[in-house]
Amino acid sequence: MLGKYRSFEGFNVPRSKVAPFKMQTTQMQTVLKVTNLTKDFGERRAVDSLDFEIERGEIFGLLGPNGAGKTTTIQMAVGLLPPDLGDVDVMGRGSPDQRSVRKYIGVTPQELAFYGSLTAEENLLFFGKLQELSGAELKLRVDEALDFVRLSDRRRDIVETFSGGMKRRLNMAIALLHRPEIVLLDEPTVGVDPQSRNAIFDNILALQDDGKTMIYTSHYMEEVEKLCHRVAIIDQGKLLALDTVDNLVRAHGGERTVVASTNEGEQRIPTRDPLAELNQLDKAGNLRHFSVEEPNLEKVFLNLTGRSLRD
Amino acid sequence: MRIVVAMALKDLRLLFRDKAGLFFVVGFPFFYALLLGSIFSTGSPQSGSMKVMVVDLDQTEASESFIAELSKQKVLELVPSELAEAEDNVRLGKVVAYVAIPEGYGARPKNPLSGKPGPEIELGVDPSRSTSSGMLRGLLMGTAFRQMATSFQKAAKSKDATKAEDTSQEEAWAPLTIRSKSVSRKTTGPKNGFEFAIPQGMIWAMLFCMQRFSTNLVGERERQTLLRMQLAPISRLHILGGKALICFGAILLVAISLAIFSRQAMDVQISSFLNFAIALLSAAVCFSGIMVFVAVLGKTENGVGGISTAIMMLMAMSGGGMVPLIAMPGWMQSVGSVSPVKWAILGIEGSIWRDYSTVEILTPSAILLVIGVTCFAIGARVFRWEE
Repeated sequence: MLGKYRSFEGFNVPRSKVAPFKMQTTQMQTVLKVTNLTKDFGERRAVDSLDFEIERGEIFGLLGPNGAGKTTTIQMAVGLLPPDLGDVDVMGRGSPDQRSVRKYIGVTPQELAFYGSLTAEENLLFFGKLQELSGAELKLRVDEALDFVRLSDRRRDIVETFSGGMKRRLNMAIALLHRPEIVLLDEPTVGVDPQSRNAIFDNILALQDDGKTMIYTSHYMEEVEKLCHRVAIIDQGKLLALDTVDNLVRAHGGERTVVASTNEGEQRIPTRDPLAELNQLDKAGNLRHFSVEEPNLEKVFLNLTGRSLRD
Repeated sequence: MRIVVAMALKDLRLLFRDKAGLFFVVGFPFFYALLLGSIFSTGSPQSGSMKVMVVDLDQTEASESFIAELSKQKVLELVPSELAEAEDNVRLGKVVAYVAIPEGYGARPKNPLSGKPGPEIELGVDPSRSTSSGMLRGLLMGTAFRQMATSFQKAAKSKDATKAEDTSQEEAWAPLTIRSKSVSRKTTGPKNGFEFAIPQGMIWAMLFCMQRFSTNLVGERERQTLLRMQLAPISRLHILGGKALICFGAILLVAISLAIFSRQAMDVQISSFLNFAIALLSAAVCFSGIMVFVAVLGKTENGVGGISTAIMMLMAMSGGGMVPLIAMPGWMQSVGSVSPVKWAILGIEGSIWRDYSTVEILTPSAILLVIGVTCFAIGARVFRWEE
């Protein structure tokens, strides 16, 4: 079960398909640098002194429950919201509130952000023009984007007639039109069928191959585990932990858990050595079934915050 | 500018895909103008009777006979009058025309075959009322020929045709000479109901454009497309400019369509195209500016829709968009001066039937421009990317 694939709801992206990210290599380029980022809404501190850097080609996960400050952080990071304190630097070119810097950023919002009564092509042409594209170049980019999200055959259909998954893919295509260096994917798989979800993951992996940097937020921790090179865990506006998934699990995931079904009922036994624990149960002669739960991001989050991500 | 145009064209495309919205922006102003025009068109040549003043300067049996014959025309309402009074009434537009029977009418040639010109009457009419003038000429000539026919019948019945010819002036033949006198109208009102209704239709087009497009901005926010715009290398002015441009363009499109339609179908003439252009452009700027101002007042489409509808109704009611200003009490007319609807109506009517000079048109136009630019500036200042 914990072999090559970790399967859930039709999502079959082998961890090996996500290209490894080598943080220690030379020539690393920081594409997004956040320093002491702080934002207050009235009396409430939504984001509290956040610091992190994202390197080129990295898939960076942001994990946190609703109200953790995740969206506010993202909004400040891409220039949608001015911070009260701190700085954001994009590609070493300054703050994203500058128009010239914004072109390096593409955003796939959680909400479907397009015009339902226009066709897919009309939507892309319009948003392309906003990105200062025109003429043959614009047409080329539109074709490219439609191909990328596999919507070329529906290009002249009114978007309202699309399925949820197709709408999500169009939402992503619009963000990619101007070939941004940094792509923000805010819950890109919400409400889509497994087939469309896989298509979106394929797109993300293709973008990674293309050297794009992605910031990925999701409530689905399995997605974050599979896709992201590093994950930042945020709660109540504070950065609780930031590392690779493996390191986070190792540092904060706690022990493995043996779930054993015995004559006395089900037992959950946290242990560093599941094999020894199972041998002991077996010797007692009442072991009927068992499984071993690996520590994961859910446990990491639980251990760091004292509550479940979905609370 | 390319981005502003792209924004406007996108909104135009969205408008054409929204059938209900399209009806209110385009269809309703036409419907309203036609309905109102029909209601107020009772004095037009096509419906009811034509009021004509008759001045009998001859005071003979022949002239009285002619008037009696003319009065048999059901489409005419004849009002006896003095010449000066008749001219004034035509000038003031109270009657369509006057018919003056000059002295000596009764002393016309007795012999129908004399070869001399027949009797002459004067038709005083506003030259702009070409349709009415033509119709009246036909009626007068018809009356004259009927009199002539009667004359011949009576002569034939008489044993002594020569005697009959000698004794009765009223039985004389009467191919009439109609001398037209141009009495330019000192315009105090529209010449037909449609001249009043078409500016009203245009005003409603402007109001509905304002109302329809004011919700667009919060719509962009609600559907998150504003977020995409915020991330694009464009400014807030690009967005507001695009919104104002589509409103401006839609107003011009509907108003010009109404003007062309009313000219072809209802004989509504624009007295000065320059003045009409000035009035229309300034009104379009004004309502586009107000649209931008209203658009930033609310946070939801329903909220802004409610606000813009309320503002639209208030402006229309107080400015003469529902009840003509002339029918309002004095204090209400004064209050109406704060409504841009009043100035827009004045400007457009001024170029259609009020016969304003270009200088006179500039006053309402300047007021509209100031309102429009001020509202746009306030809207641009208040508008924020984030809620």
